[in-house]
Amino acid sequence: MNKNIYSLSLIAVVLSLGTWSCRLEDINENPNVPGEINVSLLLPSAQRDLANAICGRLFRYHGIAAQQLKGTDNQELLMENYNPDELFVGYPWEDLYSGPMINLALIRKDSETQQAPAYKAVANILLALCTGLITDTWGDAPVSEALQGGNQLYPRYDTQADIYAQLHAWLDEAIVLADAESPRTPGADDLVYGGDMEAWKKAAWALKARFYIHTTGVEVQSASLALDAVQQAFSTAAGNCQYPYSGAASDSNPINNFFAASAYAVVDPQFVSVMGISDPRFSHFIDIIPFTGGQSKVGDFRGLAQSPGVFIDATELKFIEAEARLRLGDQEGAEAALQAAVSQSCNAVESFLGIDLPDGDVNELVVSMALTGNFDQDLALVMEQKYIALFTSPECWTDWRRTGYPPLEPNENGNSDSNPGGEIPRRLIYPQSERLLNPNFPGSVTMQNRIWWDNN
Amino acid sequence: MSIRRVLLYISLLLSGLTSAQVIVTGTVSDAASGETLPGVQVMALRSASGTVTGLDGSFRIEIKNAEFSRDSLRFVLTGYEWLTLPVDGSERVDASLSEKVTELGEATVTAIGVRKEKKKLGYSVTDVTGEELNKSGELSVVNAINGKVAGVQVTSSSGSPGASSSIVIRGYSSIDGSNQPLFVIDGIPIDNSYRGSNLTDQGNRALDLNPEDIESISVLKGGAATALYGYRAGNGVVMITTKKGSQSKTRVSFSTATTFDEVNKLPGRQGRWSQGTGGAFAAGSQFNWGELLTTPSYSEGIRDFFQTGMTGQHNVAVEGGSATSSFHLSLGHTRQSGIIPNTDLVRSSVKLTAGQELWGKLKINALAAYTTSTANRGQRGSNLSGVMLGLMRAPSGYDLSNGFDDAEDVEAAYIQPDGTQRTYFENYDNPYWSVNRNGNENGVDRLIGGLELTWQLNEHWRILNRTGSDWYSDRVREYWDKQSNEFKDLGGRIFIDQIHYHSINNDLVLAYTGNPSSAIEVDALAGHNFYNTTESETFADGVGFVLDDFYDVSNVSAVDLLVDDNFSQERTVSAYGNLTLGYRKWLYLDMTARNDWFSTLPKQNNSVFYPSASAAIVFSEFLENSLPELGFGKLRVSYAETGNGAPAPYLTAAFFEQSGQIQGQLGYEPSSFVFNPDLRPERLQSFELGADLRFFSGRLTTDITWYNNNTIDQILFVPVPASSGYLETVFNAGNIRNTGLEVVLTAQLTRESETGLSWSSTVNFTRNRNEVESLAQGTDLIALPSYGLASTQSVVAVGQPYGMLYGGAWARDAAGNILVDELGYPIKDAERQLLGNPNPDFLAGWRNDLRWKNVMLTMLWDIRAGGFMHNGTRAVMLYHGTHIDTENRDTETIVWEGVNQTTGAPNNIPIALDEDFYSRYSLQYVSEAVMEEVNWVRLRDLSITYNLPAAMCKKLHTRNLSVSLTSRNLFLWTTYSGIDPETNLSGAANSIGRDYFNSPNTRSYGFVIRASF
Repeated sequence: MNKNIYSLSLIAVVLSLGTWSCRLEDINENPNVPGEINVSLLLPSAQRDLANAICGRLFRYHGIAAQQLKGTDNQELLMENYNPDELFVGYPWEDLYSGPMINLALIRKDSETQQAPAYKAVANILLALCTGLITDTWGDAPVSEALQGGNQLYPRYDTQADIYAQLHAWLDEAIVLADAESPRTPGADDLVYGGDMEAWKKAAWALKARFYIHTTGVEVQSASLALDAVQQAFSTAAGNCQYPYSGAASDSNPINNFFAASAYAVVDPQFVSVMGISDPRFSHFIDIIPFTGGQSKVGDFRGLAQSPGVFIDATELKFIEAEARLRLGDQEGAEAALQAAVSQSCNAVESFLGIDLPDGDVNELVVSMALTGNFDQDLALVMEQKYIALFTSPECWTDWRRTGYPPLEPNENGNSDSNPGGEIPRRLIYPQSERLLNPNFPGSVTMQNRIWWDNN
Repeated sequence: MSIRRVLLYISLLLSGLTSAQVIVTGTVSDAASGETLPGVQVMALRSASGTVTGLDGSFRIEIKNAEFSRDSLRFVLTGYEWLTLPVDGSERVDASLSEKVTELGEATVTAIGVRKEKKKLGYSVTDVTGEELNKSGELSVVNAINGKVAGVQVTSSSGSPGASSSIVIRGYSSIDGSNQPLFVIDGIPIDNSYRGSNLTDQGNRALDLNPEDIESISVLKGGAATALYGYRAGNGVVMITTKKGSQSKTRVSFSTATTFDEVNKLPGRQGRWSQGTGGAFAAGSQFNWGELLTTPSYSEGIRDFFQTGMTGQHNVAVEGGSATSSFHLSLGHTRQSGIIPNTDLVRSSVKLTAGQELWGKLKINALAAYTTSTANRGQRGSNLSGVMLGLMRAPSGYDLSNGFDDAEDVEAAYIQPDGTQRTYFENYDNPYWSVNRNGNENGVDRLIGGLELTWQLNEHWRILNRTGSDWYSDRVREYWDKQSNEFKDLGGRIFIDQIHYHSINNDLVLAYTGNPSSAIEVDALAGHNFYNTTESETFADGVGFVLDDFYDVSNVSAVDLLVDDNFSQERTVSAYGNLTLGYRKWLYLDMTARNDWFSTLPKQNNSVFYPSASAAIVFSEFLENSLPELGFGKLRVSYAETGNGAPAPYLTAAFFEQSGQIQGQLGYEPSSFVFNPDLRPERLQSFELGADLRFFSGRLTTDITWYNNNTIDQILFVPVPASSGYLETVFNAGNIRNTGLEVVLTAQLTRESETGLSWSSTVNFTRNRNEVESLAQGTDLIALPSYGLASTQSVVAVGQPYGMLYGGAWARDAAGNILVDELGYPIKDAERQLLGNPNPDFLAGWRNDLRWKNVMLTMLWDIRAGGFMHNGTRAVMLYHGTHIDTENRDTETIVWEGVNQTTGAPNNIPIALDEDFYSRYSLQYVSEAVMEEVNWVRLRDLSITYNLPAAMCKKLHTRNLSVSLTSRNLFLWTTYSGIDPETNLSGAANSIGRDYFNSPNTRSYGFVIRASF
């Protein structure tokens, strides 16, 4: 009898404990983070992450390849010797794909359900910008199957020609969507244009101009298409597409942070000599570090905490115009565009820093930009001036690969397993993560395997 | 009684009737107590006669006349050692029997806190007594186990106060889950989290236990031993039993230990060359490829940076009780200052255990253990403000201390008159600056409480309910001054992290013990477990200090402050059962079953079942006559399925993360993690075979175990190509096999009763082999989180041991020859390669305990053979020109063994081992060049204890009084060229075998006084 009571009471206790388990799955609802989100909350991160990616490690790899920077230690020294480490090469790739690009892909996707075509237009434009950086750095890359998370963890690679077609398709769609009725439109969450869709439309044309000029070597129509696009893009610095860093410790330009801390690179003496100390912009582009025998870092134009993270600006458009006109045989128009570009570059320094460069020096520089009628000489001048004016932009390495200007000499220690022959690299090697993890990875390349548009 | 033995008696009786006899008499008594022993079988081996002692222990036996001078008598009694004495023509033979010191009577603590006789176990359990544990005065329980248990590998992150220590039982088995065992104190599972980052080490929470409170530790190693813990059992269990009161009169005990620590090993530095590059002196240069030094060298002076660490440990305990109650109260206080200035640890603890019996049926046991501790651990080597980094890269000609003796206390040593940091290169911290202007402080308050009610229903049945609670708060404050290099770009940084952890564990157990027939014993239990943990964390991350030398979150601008909180909860509900059957004292079968239900898994697969079965066969029962030298022999065999941790909470649904305020706009990003709604827990299948053998009356004992463990369905945090938009996902895949051999051999070389000297010697040997048999589909290699140093990764790769080191390597041709360029320099491969296995070939410990009169000596040698370590410190010191190997840069050359990259001809071009060579590759990125094999022999513990004679104690009114001299790491021989290789960059994390400016280990000396009243 006693035993039965014990057993019954025990069973009762076990059953009552058992009821605790019924609520088990409720416990696994994450109280710390939201599961769904408004597209307007994804846009600010996308814009800043994009600026951080461009001015961060991507700038260093491009800068060293284009001999605007000289690596002195760590990853930067490896790149200086054309012997980059495949793990570190993955960082700028990740900075883009799993940074702004996934945010932008989600904005594109969610804009459909959230009735926000204007957001889709912005996302298209910035995604084209990012994807352009990826393909100009690595060539073939995952695009059509990329950025799908669990639906496609191992995206296939698209050819660069297909990627370029996609870039224009995205931009064309954006140009249409920018004019469409949009129940939700960006406002203060758009840190680039404050929700000005007209400005975004012009930025889309600006990027089209950039992508057309990249393909002049492989597609005949490119120069005239580029010129046409420039004319529909913004034409003054007020329209610049850029992220305005506030300069706060948590919102400052990575170029500044890099040189403020363990700078493993200095400005390449090669760039210093190309620019020349007599250039009126010199002391704002290049900051000579005292007591180091002439080592220098990026100056206050691009190297301050509040220097903007440039996506594409009016100076670049003027140079694109100059090159396009030159290629189309319009020497006069090309010269005017080149002079406007150099003048625009000087103005940009003055307006950002709130200073006046000596007028005489600026005028002298601008008028010295005279074309000769010899295409190669004229192209060399345009490209050399673009190389100077766009200092720190990823375009510089791209332009050198397309045109061979300005003439650069390879690092003599540059013969490596990743760069046989030791010539200046024409792309980056693919990241370790793709080689090891993506079954659709097409195979390793060296930095001398040229990409599609690089047929100079 | 076996048939054979019956026949023997019959023959003895028959023979007794037929010959002329002599009568021999005597008494058999207990050797220890002197009491007479009844029921002892006495046999005359030659005369073949036998008898049994009477109630008074006396016997009378008949011996054949012819054998009188040469016969011997054998005395046999269960539980005692057999004794054989020669008759030698004497009519009186007295015998005193010693109790068997075999496992027969020994009990140990097994899963769920159940005490079982060791004899009955079908799996291996190793016990460590509190006395062994506390011989060398380790502050951390984990370090104190080191070298004492076969199958266990302990690795500490450094010799700094409160540094984390990893303990791995039978090899690494889980890729992303923890490989640390479950810690259980008096039946209550407790947390042993490790919260370190790539910047700092935060210790692991087993540090909160005061080793002096520990009565014994049972290490449950295999699956069968731990199966009742289900998903928490995969990495083994460390069962800690705290000291309990005795049911007698009140006793007070007291101990005080003082220990001095010093650096035991540092890398060598060159002392000939100045700061600079290209053979020219340059102040402020990062490198040391300058001219021949004309000023004094400070290359070895850096040793002065380290101070003598000092540890004081003081403990007082009071215990007592009555026939129905007992209590044990202890107070402990420990204060340690580290070898690195301004590092310290202070820990105070109170522990009370009390028990009471009510109405003869209900037993109540309660435990309350409170610990409060504070620590300042300093920086990890891999960060730019790390002490070792600044120290080892310092130029020989640069005096870090600026001429001051106690430079850590003199600002002029590390601050310039203009207020800027005084250092040799603008991007590295002067170590004196680092220890004053960077902090890594934490404070922990922890309360572990337990209440156990046992209700003895009747002779056979009892109900037990045990509730345990583990609560702690951990307040972390880490900061870097605005001029400190790790965060100089951000203007300094501060992290505040407040963690509140709480777990509740409840076991309700119904147990049965009985003998249904004389041949069969039954032990059975059925139980229910409820386990709930919550963790809440409030976190602040600020950058950009406004005021100098003031490290508070209020000192950063609001826009630069990120504040967040996190709450996580996990719950598991389980049911389990255990049935042990004993048959005629020689066969024991043990079966367990457990089912866990998880909150962390989706409902359709949140239930997991874990079975186990083991058998113990005491075969010596059959060999008593044919093999008398074997006192005890047992074979063990077991198979078990256990788990390896529930997955973390919230992995089954997608989410977004806040990325802080961006110019007044709140920003969000998708988590970089692809969620998985189909997760299952990891499973561990283990098979174990073993034998316990005791020879020559316990003079020689051996315990051999072989095991084969498969961890399947691993929860893999798999990196995914970033082109998917994400960096990581999680799923179940993969299989890791661990196969190992553990041998423990103990010899009682001499006994006190024989020579006056008692000397026992124990060797334990551990050999574990692991292999990653498969990973996720399409993946052959996965990098483990490799804190701190990206140039060498820890990876798991199919067909390779766990944790293989992976990094930059020399390029090779198809035949494996290193490719050399036209100038004679080897070429670095574009792709990273597998470089070496960090797991040791074997580990061995050799312990000697000697006692002569009142003096005891304990010596523990520790041997490790094989396994690689990446000497990242050496790579960077070579690159910087501070390493001793660059001392003869002006004369040393090498002809690289390899072939010309184009011709394939053997290389014969000598190259100088100079700046050109060492800076050519940034040598740290050719990890292969600095892989080193780790072997060591160390004298881990050496201690001498003198116990005051009883008479003297009496005069001093004490029961016992002893004085010990102790030492740790007194001697170290190793093939590793850097610091003591018993350290690891990643602390208690899974990545092993990496040294990158790790803080050095220590050698200690001290003395201990113990007294009880």
